[in-house]
Amino acid sequence: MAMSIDKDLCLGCSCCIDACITGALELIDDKAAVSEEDCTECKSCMELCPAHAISD
Amino acid sequence: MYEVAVIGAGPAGLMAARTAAGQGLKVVVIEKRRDVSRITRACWQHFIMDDGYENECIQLRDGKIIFLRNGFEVAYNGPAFHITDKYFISPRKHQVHFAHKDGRPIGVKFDKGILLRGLRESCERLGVEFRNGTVAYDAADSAQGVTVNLTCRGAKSTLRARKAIIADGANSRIADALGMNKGRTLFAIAHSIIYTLEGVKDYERTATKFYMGLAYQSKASVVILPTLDGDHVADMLIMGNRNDPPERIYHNVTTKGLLAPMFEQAKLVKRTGCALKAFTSMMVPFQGNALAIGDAAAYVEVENQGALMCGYHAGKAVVKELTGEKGFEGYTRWWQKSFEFNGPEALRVAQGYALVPTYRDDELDYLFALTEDEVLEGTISQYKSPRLLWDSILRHKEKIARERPELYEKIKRNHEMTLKGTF
Repeated sequence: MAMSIDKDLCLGCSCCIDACITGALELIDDKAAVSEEDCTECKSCMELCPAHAISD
Repeated sequence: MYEVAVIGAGPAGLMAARTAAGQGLKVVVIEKRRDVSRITRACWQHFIMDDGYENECIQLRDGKIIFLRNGFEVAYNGPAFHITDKYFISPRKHQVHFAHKDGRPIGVKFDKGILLRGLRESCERLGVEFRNGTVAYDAADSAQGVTVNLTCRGAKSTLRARKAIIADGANSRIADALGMNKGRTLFAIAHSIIYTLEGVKDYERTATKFYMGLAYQSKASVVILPTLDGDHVADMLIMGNRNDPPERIYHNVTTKGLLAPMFEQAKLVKRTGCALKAFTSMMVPFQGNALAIGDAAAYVEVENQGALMCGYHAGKAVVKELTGEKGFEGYTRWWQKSFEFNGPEALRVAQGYALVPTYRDDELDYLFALTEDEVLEGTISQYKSPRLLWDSILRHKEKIARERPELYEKIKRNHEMTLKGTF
């Protein structure tokens, strides 16, 4: 269970990381990356992404 | 246990770490990026040269940024490009023009990566420990100190420090985790993308231009900004929100609106983005052992120079706290009087002066045309420009009342929010 990040759309702005309360998001090589173990699919990151790069 | 944990290695965090370490404290900095000098988040990267901006008047010389009134300096050896003019432009190209008579810069474009790299190096020389590529995602405060939850490549750990400086930016996770956002109102969430474009036509390299009006295919201003990259490389800031995404606005602006001809031969070089939660300011930015600084505590933004000042004062404040003095209270006094957004009714004033989307395209044309007989005082300040603009427009208030009575009433209604005796 995890949100999904489109690396082509992702700008690496890292705003999604600021939204994540479980530490499921990190910046790897300037792109957001999600950990399946920690993601609860609360969608806070998706709501915040300015590039619409995150989907459920 | 560390003496100080700094969350975030932007200009505020790095300056706080450097200042605290410079006074002998054991500091650790947590930063989500591997390399602090890689900038992929949208940022104007300019210094605002207004005398009195944030109660300071910075100078750039001898490879330094000098904060005369606050009493410190920061090394900066990178490029510095002068911005001399600012324009607000209506659909029919009527312009409000801000510039100094003597041509001195209103703003200076700089390279934020170079600034941050220099700050990081000075931190390292002072023995600051860095945890890069590490996200601080939760925290708790107690009498003994602050515990921060960290993740790095999926591996979780905790870190404890007697004091924490929260400098993780406008959407601060840690300020939220510590409950410091209680009492703040969330106004809006702005989604912005800055597009760096090569081959833009009719681009004036030394100016910042705000194109206002629906004819430009955007509800918010479309802003064309100088870059450090040469005469044919421009930045364009597009602001939207979740329901009006910047990518769609960008497509319309560059293909359908009045600006489309500028982009006929343009090539997209890169994009940087930012989603920003506009919270009212944290008037008292500390709680227990934690002090929130910079954008983390601001209404929207403190700007790079404001962040450096916050970091400097926070570094000094935390030294005092650790010797039992009320350092955070002292910081709060400085914070409250240095930023325009901490003034009473600041947001109502900003709302009352707003141009878009309040005024229609034909109203913007009419009002901006009234100002064309003068060049307004040079300023890049988002607080000062609206005041100067409305003073200029309202020098013609009898004419407006006579020729456009409905518009006149609309202006009066909006300015009731501004409190000052405009009328």
